[in-house]
Amino acid sequence: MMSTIVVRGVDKRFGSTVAVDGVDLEVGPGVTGLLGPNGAGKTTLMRMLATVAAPDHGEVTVFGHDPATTAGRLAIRRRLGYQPQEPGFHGHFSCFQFVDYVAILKEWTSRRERHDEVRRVLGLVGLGDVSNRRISRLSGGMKRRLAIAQVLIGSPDLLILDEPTAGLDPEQRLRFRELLGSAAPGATVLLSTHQTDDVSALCSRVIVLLDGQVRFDGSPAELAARAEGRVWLADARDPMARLGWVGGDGRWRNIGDPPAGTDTVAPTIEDGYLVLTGADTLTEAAADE
Amino acid sequence: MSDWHVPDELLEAFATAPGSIDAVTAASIEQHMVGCGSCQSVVGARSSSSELDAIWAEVADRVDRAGASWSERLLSRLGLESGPARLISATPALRMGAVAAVGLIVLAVVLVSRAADVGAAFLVAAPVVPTALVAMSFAPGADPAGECGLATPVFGFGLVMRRALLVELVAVAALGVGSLFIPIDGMRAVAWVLPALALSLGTLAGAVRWPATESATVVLACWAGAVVVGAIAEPGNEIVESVVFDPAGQLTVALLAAAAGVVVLMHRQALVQEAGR
Repeated sequence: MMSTIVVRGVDKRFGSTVAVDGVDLEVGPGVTGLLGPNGAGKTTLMRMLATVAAPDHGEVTVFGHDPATTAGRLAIRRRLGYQPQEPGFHGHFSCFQFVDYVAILKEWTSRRERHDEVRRVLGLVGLGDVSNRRISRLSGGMKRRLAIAQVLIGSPDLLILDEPTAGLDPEQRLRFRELLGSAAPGATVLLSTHQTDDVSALCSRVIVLLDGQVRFDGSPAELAARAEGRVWLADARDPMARLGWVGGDGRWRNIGDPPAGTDTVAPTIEDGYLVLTGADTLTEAAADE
Repeated sequence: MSDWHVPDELLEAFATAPGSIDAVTAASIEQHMVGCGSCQSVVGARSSSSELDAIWAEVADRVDRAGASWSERLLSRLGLESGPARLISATPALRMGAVAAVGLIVLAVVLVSRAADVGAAFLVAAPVVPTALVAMSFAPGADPAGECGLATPVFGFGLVMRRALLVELVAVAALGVGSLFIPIDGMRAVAWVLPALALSLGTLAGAVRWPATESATVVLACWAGAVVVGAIAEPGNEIVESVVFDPAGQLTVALLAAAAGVVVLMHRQALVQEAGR
């Protein structure tokens, strides 16, 4: 199957800061999660894929089109739904006016059909009852849902979602997962998040970015397996642990190199992610010892 | 409660062809149906669901339709479709408050010019108005969709330049009316037009690299400097006679406007990015 997104040797700098450093990846249909700490380059990469920013070097193709050309950008944007990290709403617009405005930008010229579509997507995200409420009077979670609503206009083939679940409460996050499963069947979805449980629930594939580079590309189970044999529970923080925290049951969850004879527990994606992102620290610490 | 019911043929017409019944009869039937479940059920059973759906869709459509701004209505009257008209007019520089402020500023400058009998005050101040409005159109957050809009097919150079052009035209129209009342005769009364165009284009040229508001500040500072230098260079003359407003100065300004226009064209994608921030 042809990949929806192909990225080859892409770099992007802002002054002396390297945001994306020689990234190669291909993304096809299904939900792919993009994980990484703040400043890892996730947003910059997503903005380039959404035709909002251009790479300094390298090649990007989306649906086989080059976003560097006017015709290519147009072809990509006609099949794209993009939710930026900071949507930047106009507070004086109502929910309906905002989504309607974006629908006009997405070439919905027939007013009747456009309004039907606006009502449909507002209903999908649970904002149908407050469609005439001003955006300035919405809660943070409602604003996030409004940003998701505009993504869904026209049921695009590619959804690029930059931290779509930030600011959503647990119930809203569950609804979002349900929505993504039902509203975008067969679509290519690339979402960045800090929530590893979102990745477990939604993604068939996960990519971890660190310092602008792809450090992991595989299934959620494979990411969890990175911490296999390196997670153990104890009544106190183990001095051998590189990372540790108290769980809800009052026991410490330790990550690192367990003492000999310790029983380890099954790792989660979060454990795998922490081992991966803390790998440099672990290595340096081991060398010091 | 009466045992009387609306005759069957009237109910039939009311349900399926309401236009065939006169207004008084229709109102009587409606009044009766408020308290008559039997007639309500007859009408309900005979009404076409598709027709009801269409009526409901029309009602919902009218409720949801946003109140068009004055500029959107104006563009629609000029023949533009409602969608593009809304996109072009969606800038804070065209809100009623901004336009009213422009009117008041022009009025104030005209009054000062007349009171002091110094027409040059108008010529110097006039280019500031369109420049400020253009900068406002490209300021961060000016577009209602923000970065969401940047990834859509329609948001591009054509849209942002049409918006800038409309803003410029509004300012020029207000200033044009004002220039009829300043104490300067002949073509000198419109010697502000080319500087206005040059400063606006200069602001856009700067906006390909810096925020539009900062670009406008620099461009306006250059304008103030040019006026002061012109006045110092010819101390015996009125400012209105200075090099800035004489034919050679106007030609220079026109060339600068053309150069700024070239920069804008060459870096149009950067300008679009600025407009969508």
